[in-house]
Amino acid sequence: MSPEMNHKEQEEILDSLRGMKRATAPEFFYTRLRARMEQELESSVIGRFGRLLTRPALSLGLAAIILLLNITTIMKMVQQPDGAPETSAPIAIAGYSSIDTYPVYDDITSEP
Amino acid sequence: MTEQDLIQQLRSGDELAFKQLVEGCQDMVYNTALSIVHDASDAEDVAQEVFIQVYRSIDQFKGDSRLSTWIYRITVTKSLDLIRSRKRKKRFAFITSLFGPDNEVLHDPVNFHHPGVVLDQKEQAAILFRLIDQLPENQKTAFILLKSEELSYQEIAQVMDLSVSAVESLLFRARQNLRKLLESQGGQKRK
Repeated sequence: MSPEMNHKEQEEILDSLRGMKRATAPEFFYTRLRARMEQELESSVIGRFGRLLTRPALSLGLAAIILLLNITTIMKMVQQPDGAPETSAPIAIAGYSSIDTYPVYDDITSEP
Repeated sequence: MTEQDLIQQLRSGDELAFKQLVEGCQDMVYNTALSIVHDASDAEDVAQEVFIQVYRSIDQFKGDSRLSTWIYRITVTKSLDLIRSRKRKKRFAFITSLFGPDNEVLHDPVNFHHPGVVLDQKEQAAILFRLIDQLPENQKTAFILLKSEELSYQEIAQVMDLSVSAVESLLFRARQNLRKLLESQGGQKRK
């Protein structure tokens, strides 16, 4: 390969982008873009909520509040007022939660 | 619709204005990204990220340049980020292959053929794109904006936030470096 020829080849390579046309974006580019944007929006909402829960201070605080509420409720139920009749814990919980054994069938008059 | 109207509508979250912007600029963004990243799928990813950023940060666009200049700037930044991340992954894969049992050989990507190149110049253009990849980032950006997008020196200067003389200097050095790389390749071939 002669040096002149080499130089000519080099110039051809350096000018090979002359007259190059613009590449066109793939079909349905906008549709795919919108789909990605919606997907990212959804994952960012879930991600933000997840990140909040994974913060140790916040999750420990929430757990402490729930535990404290439970303890207070149980303490209230277990501590009997002086004049009140003594009831067992399950009955007290049932009374507190309005879960009662209402005698539905007692009201039904027996058919002749 | 003037550019100012379009920007106002984009700021107010108008979907139709966004669609109009995407359809008007998608080829410009895709072509620039493709010329830098040399892969159609990656270029589409970059182009999508560019428009997502435009949609999210249109309020930050000060309007001291044309909207297309701002979009070019985002495209170049995102494309170069992708190349950097590829290089990091490649380095990491090399290191892990040294220590791990997986001795996978790392291949350089095959020749890139830009779809817009004239058919009889495809081989030369593939060589040129491979050499452009070896240029420093700023020289590569200026050269691609000039050759692939046919921007003027003034426009390249605005996109790269440089003076016109700085762009001229970058392009001069880019051509010099490309010549050197070609000579060294020619020398290697002769050996």
